[in-house]
Amino acid sequence: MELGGHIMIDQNTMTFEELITLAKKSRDFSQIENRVNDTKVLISYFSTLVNHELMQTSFLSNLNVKDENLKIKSLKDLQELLPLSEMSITNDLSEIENKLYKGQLIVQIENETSEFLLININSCQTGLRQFNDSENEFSVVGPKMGFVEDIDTNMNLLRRKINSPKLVIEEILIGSLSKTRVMIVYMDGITSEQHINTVRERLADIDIDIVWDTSLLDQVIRDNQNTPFPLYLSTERIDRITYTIVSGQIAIFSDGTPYAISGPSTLFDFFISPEDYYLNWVLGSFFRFIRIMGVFFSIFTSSIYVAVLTFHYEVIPKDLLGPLIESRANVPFPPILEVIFLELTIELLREAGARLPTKVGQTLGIVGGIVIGQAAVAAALTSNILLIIVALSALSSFTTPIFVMSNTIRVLRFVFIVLASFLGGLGIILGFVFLLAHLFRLKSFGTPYLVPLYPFRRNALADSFIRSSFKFINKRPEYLRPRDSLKYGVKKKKKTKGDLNDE
Amino acid sequence: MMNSMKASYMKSKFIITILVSLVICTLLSGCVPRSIIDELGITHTIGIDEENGKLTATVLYPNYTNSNKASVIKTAADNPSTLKSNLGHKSQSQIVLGQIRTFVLGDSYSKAGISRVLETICKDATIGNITFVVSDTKAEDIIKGLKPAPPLYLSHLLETSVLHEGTPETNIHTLVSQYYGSGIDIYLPNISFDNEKQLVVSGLSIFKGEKLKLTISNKEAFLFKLMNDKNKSGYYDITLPTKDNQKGKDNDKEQKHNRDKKQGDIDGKQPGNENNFALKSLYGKHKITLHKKGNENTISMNLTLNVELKGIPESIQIEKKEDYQYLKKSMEKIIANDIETLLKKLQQNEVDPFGFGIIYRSESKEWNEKEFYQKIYPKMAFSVKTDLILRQLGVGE
Repeated sequence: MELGGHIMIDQNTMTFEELITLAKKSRDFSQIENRVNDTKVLISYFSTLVNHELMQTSFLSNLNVKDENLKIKSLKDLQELLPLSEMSITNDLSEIENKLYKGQLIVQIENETSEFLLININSCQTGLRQFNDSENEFSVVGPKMGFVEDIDTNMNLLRRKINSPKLVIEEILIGSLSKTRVMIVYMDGITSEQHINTVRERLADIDIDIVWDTSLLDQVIRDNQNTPFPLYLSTERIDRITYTIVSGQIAIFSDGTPYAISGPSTLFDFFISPEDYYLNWVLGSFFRFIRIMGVFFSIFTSSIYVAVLTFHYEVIPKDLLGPLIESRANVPFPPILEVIFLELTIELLREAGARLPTKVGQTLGIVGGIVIGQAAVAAALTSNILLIIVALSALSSFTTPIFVMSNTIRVLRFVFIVLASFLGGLGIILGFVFLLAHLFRLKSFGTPYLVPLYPFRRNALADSFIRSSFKFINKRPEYLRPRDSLKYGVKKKKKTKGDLNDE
Repeated sequence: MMNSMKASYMKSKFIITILVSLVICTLLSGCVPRSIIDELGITHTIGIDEENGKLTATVLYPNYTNSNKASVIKTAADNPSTLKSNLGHKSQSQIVLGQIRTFVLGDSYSKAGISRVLETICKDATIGNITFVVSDTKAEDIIKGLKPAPPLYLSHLLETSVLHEGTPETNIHTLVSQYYGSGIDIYLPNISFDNEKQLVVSGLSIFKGEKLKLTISNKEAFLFKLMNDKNKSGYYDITLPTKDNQKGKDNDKEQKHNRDKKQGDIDGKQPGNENNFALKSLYGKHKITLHKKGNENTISMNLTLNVELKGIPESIQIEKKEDYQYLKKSMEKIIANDIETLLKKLQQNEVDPFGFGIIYRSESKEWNEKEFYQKIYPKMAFSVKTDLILRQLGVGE
């Protein structure tokens, strides 16, 4: 365990008395003096952090011993008296400080000045939600459970899913002010040592005041700071994070957020939905293909519209020409303004929809969009066809299962629209070339981001554009360098010749 | 320190590379003028004529933006490029050629030679795959006649005619390859107004070099298509010789119509020739080979055709083997004869739309186009063999 450098210096110089003086400045700090058969016991704690019920029933009541013969000579004797499991005796001041601020009791007895008993009766469940539906990553088929804000609950949920001694959970404290518990989770004997070390090193190097969310860790440890693409999969779904862990990735959890990140990830990981695996491979592949098509559609249609209508009237199919011109006949703006206007409207609706409390709000936003769109067409601000294009491309950007990725797609679209308005088709191609070059260079924990395509890995293609049958995806992807590549064996089915009676 | 300096140097170098390449791309592409779609005069059909020694262009451009009324503009000039700019002077918006679908060539212009317009069009990168047609009057008349029709009427008319009705497929690619290639002549569909002022595709115009030489009928055009195109769909009219007259008249293709005995005496005769029926060609294969024997060159053509018959004469009972054989053989003979007649007609007019010259060139070491068409082609012999496979006969009674 390493902490930020300057904190170490502070704690080295601080004495226990100073610690208590500092804590006394806060109003919620309490100290109780108690006597256990003539032995004076001093209990210090933060009243806002401890579980008062537990303190009454298990701790204070047990201090009132009736047995006259019992003598409390050391902290050990006191420890034996109490029916609590999480207790430790220490003289390490930094540990004491940490645990005091996490809601533990510090117990001192007379004649014992250098050692302290720490008792954990913190109220970790206070202020946490009781339900754990994965609201933002919904799936129709399969489990709907997600992680919650409490890291212990999360680890519990994870261990229940992966019931194996191979699952290793390492803890590290990050944040000079928050001292957030961050967990590194991986499969021992499966996950590549090199990747685990990379994660450990990068997390240890972090110097930050408060860890708000795992996305913050993501931004600090990522390989390229200036890319709009998410380099680590971020999800609140248990099944998704489980899948990445057993595939040989490393997951990072942080206390106080339901989102976990995992890496090294590739671009394709962001278009995988757990439902792909819950459905038959034919259906799963089809839906995944639709999703990937949706991304291309979402990024390119508006810009192609701009390019074609401003520069390349030649390429319009002859039967489409009439409707296109007719719908634009009364629009006074050039196509670029028309598109920007409508795209911004959709973005506004989406932002507003996200601030509305429920899913109903979101639907309302979409419906509002249609109404506004219709009115815009009637007022000759945009053309009908563009309205359809923009609405469809907005719709298809919703199909991306990972929210961060769909945001990236949202932003990329505008870049292409602007390029198309300057250079037409050449601009789009230029943008695409830069995008590809950028993607080729991206790395996630040192692993190429575009991996089944570049560098080309044939074996990994079985689970990229399409989700092949479970027969073919029983191996972990090689680019994750797993130490054990076999997920499960595939038994060959015996082909039996059908009997007439079978039919 | 050194490393970070090196890294920042590399980074700035990288950014400069990006900027330079962006600038180069922009410069190389030049500044393409914006042509916003609703501000253009997009035309689909152009007619070219020659009038008093000048080129004239008649342009039909639909006004999509309001009321769907098409406008016709006509200008004259001495060269094709001036023609285009003159058109611009006469319309409210810039006339662009990128969406042209059909080029109508007037008959007098076609006879004078089409090379100037063709070579100008080949150089225009915005023009895509367009169709050329030859009108049997002035192209201007056709364009003016098209004014009330939907904008893409002519283009659709030609499309259906090629797809289903037996007109050979032509477009700018075939035209250019025939124009520049040696050993083959240009052929283009022909259009005209019939007596009821309706636009019809009326056969094929065949050029010698750049000049119109010969026009053949729709029926001949279909035979031409059978031996030339992959798509062989279309209908062919056949008048069956009566069985009684079959003997001794085998080789005579122009069978005089003889009434069937059964129907002979009935006064209330139905309209049309009842020995005449349509053969619907479904699909098939053709093969053209050249046989050289000393100075004699024989072109042999083999055609295997799958056909559907609709409404065969009542005198034929297809269930009977002899009737079936009779029907098949006589149809094969009629088609073979008709093709041979067509070939001879082409030969007499010294045109070669089939590209026998190309076949000849591929099989001989020496090639001289002039010599071939002056000495060898007029003496070529033809042998045509057809094999019909009757696939469908329609629903029975």
